[in-house]
Amino acid sequence: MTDAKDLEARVKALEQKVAVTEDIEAIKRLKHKYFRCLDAKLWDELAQCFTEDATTSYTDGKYSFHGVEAIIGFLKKSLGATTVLGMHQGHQPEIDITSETTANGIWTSEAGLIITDRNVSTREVNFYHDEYVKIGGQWKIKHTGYKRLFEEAWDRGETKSLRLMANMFAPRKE
Amino acid sequence: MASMGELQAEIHLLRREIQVLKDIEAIKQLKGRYFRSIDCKLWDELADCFAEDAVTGYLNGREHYEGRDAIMKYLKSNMDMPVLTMHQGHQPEITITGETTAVGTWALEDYIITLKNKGIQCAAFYHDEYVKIDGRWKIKSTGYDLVYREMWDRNETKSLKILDRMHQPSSWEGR
Repeated sequence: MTDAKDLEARVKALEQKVAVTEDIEAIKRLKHKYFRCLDAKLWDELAQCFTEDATTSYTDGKYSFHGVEAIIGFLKKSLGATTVLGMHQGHQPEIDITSETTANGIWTSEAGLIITDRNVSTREVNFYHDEYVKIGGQWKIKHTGYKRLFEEAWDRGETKSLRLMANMFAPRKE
Repeated sequence: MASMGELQAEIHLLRREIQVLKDIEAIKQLKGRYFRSIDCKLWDELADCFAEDAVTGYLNGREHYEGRDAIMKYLKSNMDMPVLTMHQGHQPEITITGETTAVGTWALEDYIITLKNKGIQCAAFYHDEYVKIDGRWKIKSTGYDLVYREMWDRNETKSLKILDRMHQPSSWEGR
């Protein structure tokens, strides 16, 4: 009987380890979806990444919002125009599962924007500090924000030969 | 205390959960090999990434090819020339849909330097299907939609010099 009890304990320990690994993969995937939705301008899908009462502290707290509606409103205003082409990348995740339904994560982010109507490009590197929560079996962003390493901008017109050859959001030709 | 039957069921479930995690990792490695093989111009290794009957929808579906041979012919004709390429896949979202099937999206950033010193940079989203054949994951279908692509003349930046590169343009001379 001690053998069976020992086996049960080992199975339980293994279950916990597998659950943590599954949670880390699910959280990475959540953040990947968040970045994809920013650049593809998929606002409904992006809203699903957040809890109802989520909070942000983007750009060192300069852009702090409470609630998914306010957050999506801000992101739509910043990145929603078809004249803004974004490439947001998240790298080097450091995810800590703190309980069965809570986790923290740090990400390095590199992002570039092309602002077509002003012919300006920007590039920035930030460190995200996130909190995640599992609701109904799904991981969501409870808090997100970043500290900025640097941001730079330049006039695309200075590179005379520079041409935009493709644009996902260009107006369709009649 | 749990019965032996319950423990067996739990172990069975654990095996399946671990298999899904292993499959996700194997698919990430497959895509890593795909991008590396393109940039290192390892055509046999690249061909091995695809299923025999694979299909592509590169460039918003415009570059549509059916079958590994047709796909490889297209990729070689675009990448096997004195062109320096960097392809990076980021932010995988992999879903295992069955024991031998899966789908995935990736963010692509690529940078190409042509023989005439043109720079080309793209951002795109890959949409892939994968299939496991004889225990190994392969690309069954792949393609991407561009967010943007831009091109410029690198000669405009007077000080810009390539200091080192894997493939020397001279190695293509006479081919």
